[in-house]
Amino acid sequence: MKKFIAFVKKESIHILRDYRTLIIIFGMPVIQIMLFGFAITNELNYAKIGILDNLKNMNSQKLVSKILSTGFFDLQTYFNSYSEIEPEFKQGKIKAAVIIGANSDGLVSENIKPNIHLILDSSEPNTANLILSYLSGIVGDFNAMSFSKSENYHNIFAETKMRYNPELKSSYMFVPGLMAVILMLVSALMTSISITKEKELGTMEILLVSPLKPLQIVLGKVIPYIILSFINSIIILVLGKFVFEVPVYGNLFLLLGECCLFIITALSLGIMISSATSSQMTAMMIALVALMMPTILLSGFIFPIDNMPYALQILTNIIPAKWFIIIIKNIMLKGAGLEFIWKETLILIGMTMFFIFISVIKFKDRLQL
Amino acid sequence: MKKIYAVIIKEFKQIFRDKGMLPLIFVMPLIQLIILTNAATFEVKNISFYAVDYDNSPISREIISKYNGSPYFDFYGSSTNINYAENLMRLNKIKFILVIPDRFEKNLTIENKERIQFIINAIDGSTAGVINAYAFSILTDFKTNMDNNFNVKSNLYGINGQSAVNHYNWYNETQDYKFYMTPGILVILVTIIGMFLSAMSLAKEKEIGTIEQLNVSPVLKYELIIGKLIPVLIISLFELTFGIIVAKLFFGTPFRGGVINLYSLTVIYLIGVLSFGILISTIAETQQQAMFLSWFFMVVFILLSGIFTAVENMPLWAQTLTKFIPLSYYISSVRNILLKGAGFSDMLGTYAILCGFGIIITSAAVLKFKKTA
Repeated sequence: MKKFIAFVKKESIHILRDYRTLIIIFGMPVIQIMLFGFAITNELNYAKIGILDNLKNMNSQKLVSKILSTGFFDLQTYFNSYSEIEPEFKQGKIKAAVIIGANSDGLVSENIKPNIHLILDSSEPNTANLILSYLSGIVGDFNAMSFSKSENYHNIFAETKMRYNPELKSSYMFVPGLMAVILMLVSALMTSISITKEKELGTMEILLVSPLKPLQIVLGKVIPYIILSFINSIIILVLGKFVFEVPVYGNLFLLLGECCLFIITALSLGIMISSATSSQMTAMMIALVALMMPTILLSGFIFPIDNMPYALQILTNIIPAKWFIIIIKNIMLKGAGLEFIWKETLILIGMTMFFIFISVIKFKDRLQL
Repeated sequence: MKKIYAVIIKEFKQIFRDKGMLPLIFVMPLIQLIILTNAATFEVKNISFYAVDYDNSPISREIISKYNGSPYFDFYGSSTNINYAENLMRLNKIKFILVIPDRFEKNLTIENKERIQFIINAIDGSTAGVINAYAFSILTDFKTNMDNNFNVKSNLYGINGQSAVNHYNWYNETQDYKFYMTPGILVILVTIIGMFLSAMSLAKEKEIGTIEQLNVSPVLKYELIIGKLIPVLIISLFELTFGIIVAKLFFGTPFRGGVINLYSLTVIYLIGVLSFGILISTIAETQQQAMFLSWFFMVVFILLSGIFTAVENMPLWAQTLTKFIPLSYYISSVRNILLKGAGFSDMLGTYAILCGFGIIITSAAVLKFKKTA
């Protein structure tokens, strides 16, 4: 036992000595939370548009000022001719153009009544649709008010209620996801590098001739990272709660317990990777490509799984982070207890056993070099 | 000149000697491009919705069938039980509840205005925003195409002297999200490979010890750096080409701009990025640190540059930060070239800025790299 503790101490000193990596391990979650919380959002706050007014009469002026008075649209350019429009799109200066009046070159209309043409830059479809829905709502209402007698226009208003997240805070989505990504990063990536580094530098053989058993070596390497990851998950939860008001409606101990489970899953993955190679660079690349990229992109962290093609949705089932995100979202946002998430928890436990099993098999021959 | 050439040959040999590197450089991007382009989408579709209709009049049924007929919404069911509907939402069976109040038709006839309710599952805030926009669009469509007797016309040109509103989707008529995401993923791939390879190369030499041998050789500082940069540049450009071919073949991604424009922009951009990698490797002592530092900066750059989420939606301080990241200029230019056919004259400013970045970062890397270290 004393040998084991001495070994854990050695590993901890190694880690603490490397202050650059340490800053990144603790700094990265904080910076990412700040970025995701304050900077990254899909909500459209304003859109730059251009207007070409071919009529220049009182009605068209009223329409223009109605559009601009919403505060959502920022008038970037007031066009004088149709040909000025395309370059502005190409240079990315405007997201939409509003053309008021009878047809100009290229836009055909047989109707003699004044027409309004909306040109949208559809490179980013959601932005285009959001702009379209606001603009056509404004134009539609304006039309009806000005041109038909008001007794005849039946206006239907919609009142929207946003459930579970009334302020549409994106933090509800990303804080759980961020926990999964950071835990996976620290546990799997760092463990795999740490073990592979010893192999690459040759110090693994020195460890093997020491009185420590191979199992103790692996455990000793893994324990400091368990502690680091756990501290990280607490940091993320605390920041989430106090800076972004992400609630924890469920049982805190259940939450922390599931975090520990996921940490062990990630660690066993890291060990499995390190058993496959002796080169640090290869270990890092495998960890990044086969682990981080899928975790970030396919776990439901940024891109909702429901929107993916069916084949990919099936693929996402093998990614541990996906199940973990479901678990913590349910605990934090809906206050679910174990009875709602036992299925996902069991899947994570199963995956962990599988990874450990493979590692044990591969390690027995590798370490015995 | 001969010395630079010698360093280039050495670098190429070292990269390809590592059996693990080759599949990683060539197979990984392929897989990523294919899988990620399919996964990366913010498109919202198949929104399952439930209708709670307390009025049950012709017009309320008309409204519900309009939503039902929309390609965005999937009808789940309807009843007059709001609690049942809310429960369905709690269980994640539906995302949208349409509520039409009692006496809807009567009130609309008498007072000329009435309200209906949209209840949306907002755990995913941005999806909720999109659902709201769709629901609102359908409602607008409905009410402007309705005449005094509540007959709904499906004619596009409006009635009662109203103006018609026509809309045109430029550059992406089918609203395929892949057109937006593929350039982004391409850019990420090229940047990751470039930055990692250049950062790791010096760090590995430091860690194994061969840096000392390099330091006592007659190779000058700048010759070493140029010699290390060029192979990575060539590999990155190869990645870009490979990626574009795959994107065109598999996803039909358009390429409406000039090839020379794209490549010259990429070269200038890459010089800045690769020098940044070298700068990182002068700070790091081990490969692990180099990798972590590169990873850290990559994540920050990718998030802030507007690849996945638009820069316009960010608060002012973030938008200012974005101006200091070469990646943000590059990704918007690549999108403009590929999707909108932007030409050289449309991006003179971008060229100037990227050149500036390249010069500053490369000088910093050359200055920081001391042969005596």
